[in-house]
Amino acid sequence: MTFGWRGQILRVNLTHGTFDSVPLSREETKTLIGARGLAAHLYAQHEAAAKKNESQDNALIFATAPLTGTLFSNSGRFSVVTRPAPNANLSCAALGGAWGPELKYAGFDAIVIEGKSSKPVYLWISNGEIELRDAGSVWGKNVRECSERLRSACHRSARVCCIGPAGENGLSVAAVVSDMHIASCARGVATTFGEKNLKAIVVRGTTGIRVAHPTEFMEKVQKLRRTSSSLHLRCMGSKLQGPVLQINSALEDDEALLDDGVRPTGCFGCMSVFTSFTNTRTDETLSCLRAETSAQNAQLQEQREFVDLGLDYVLTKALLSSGKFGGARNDDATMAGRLAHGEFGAAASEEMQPEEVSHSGCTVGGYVMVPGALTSGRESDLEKRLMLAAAELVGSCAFAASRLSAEQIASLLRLATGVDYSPEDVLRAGEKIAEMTCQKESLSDANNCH
Amino acid sequence: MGVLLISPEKCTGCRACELACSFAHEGEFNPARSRVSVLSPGGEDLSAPVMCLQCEQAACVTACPEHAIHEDARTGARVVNNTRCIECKMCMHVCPFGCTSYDSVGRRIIKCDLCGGDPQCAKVCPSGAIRSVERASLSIARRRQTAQKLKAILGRGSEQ
Repeated sequence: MTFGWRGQILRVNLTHGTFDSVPLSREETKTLIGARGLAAHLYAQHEAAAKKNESQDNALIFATAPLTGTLFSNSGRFSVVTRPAPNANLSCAALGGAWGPELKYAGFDAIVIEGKSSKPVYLWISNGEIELRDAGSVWGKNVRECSERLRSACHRSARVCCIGPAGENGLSVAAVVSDMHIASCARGVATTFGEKNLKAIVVRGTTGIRVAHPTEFMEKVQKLRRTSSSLHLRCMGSKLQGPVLQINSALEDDEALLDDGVRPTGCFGCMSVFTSFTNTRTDETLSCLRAETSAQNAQLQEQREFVDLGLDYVLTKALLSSGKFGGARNDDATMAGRLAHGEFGAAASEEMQPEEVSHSGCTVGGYVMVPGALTSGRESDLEKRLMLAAAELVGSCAFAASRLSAEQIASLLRLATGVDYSPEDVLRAGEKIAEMTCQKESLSDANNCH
Repeated sequence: MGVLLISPEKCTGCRACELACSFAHEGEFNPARSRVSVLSPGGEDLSAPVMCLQCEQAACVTACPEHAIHEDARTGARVVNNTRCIECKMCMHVCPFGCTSYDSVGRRIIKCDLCGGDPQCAKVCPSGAIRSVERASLSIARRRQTAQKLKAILGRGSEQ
């Protein structure tokens, strides 16, 4: 019996169309824990095996964390890791939504995708049943249409993680999209999907996650949920032009939000959807939820369109404003469409690379950008940043993580998995993963690390 | 005696209620074994919790050939006596809301039992979409909401 974890890793070989599942051992998760950490560990395993066979195969790894899919707040997290180029650092896209939890309900903690398919395919996982299906009908389709079609073909309640046309066409500004509108761009991750001819992974799971100490775990989680609504929360990162950044709890304000007829929505398990956001540049408080129907409407709509094409909003916007593509400034959505569909070729976006430093933030629902834990420019305190990195390893969104201490993370881990983690273990894991996926010098230099 | 007051317009789709429910009843986090479901028929942007409303004239109670569903006098919930239940699933056929279901893992009929008077879903709901209220005050709670909406429509939303 495994606690917190489900105890199985799915390995898929696209070249041969074969699957097998391997057990997840305790030792494997002790040092680097889960998500990006587990994925990095599995990538190293894959590389060692590939070296033996003298193969250059690049794997694409999806990994959840021990708290993913539990009642711990903002627990919808998972990471996608690949090596964008030989000798480059590992690259990691971190995403939310209900896909990660669904994978755990299907019985798997992680998926290792090896090889390359000869034609477009998607992976359909229904509990223990795995199938590679032809993706000819959704190749070239936008994220929303692809997700809806695949759900109709597989299961109404299934969850989809896919790429849009941008990823298929090898654009460096392409993003991976989970649950239709949660997008994350990391160097080479979405394009590796495309290279492997993998359009999507569709998951449906109906089995449960158990924790080692149920009563204590629940007490701890309930307490954190109660306090998380009253704590002041500071958030970092300033890449999205517009309505993001400082978060204040505003639970009492929810009636006011609803007056506008705006429906606040969030990722799986999200408690931050009720927060209001302060634009740090102008110090003007505006709710990102309310924003959708007010002043920011046009920009947010545009962001949704970009995500639908499988593009990273910030990078693409910067690329289009470089003037290289001409056209009126207000016509970015059309230009983005042409770019994503490969009209200008993959080389068109070459100059716009996500930083060498792994960029793990994600855009949610077209209105919020969750900053990457390791890569947040404003936080100069190294220990705090390592703690945020560690929080990502246990399955916490950066929004919730800012409220946690290493002691709290360690205690949640102990209660969920039954394995004796200390706060030092947690911080060490954060440091180790930072070394593996982020350049050390830029980690201590906030300006180079966005 | 309590009852759950549902405000679907407040639901964010976070599904904490499903997790709290399956954990309280089955000891695991598993939306598939929850008594409450968060559904989004109009796409991912709009969701609503769907659960047993504890009908006064409950079809499940009437239809059960073994009289295995009864009202718990203390909590007011319609609860299944699993010793009596023959798992014929008649209650599932007749429930107008689809809120009795068959748990294929535990092999039994499951439905909301208001957690013995302390509904866990209401406890974890971050937006107040599910609230536990006294049965007697259900309609006044709803009227209060309506009054607030009217106030907002009339442009005096900021005055309390």
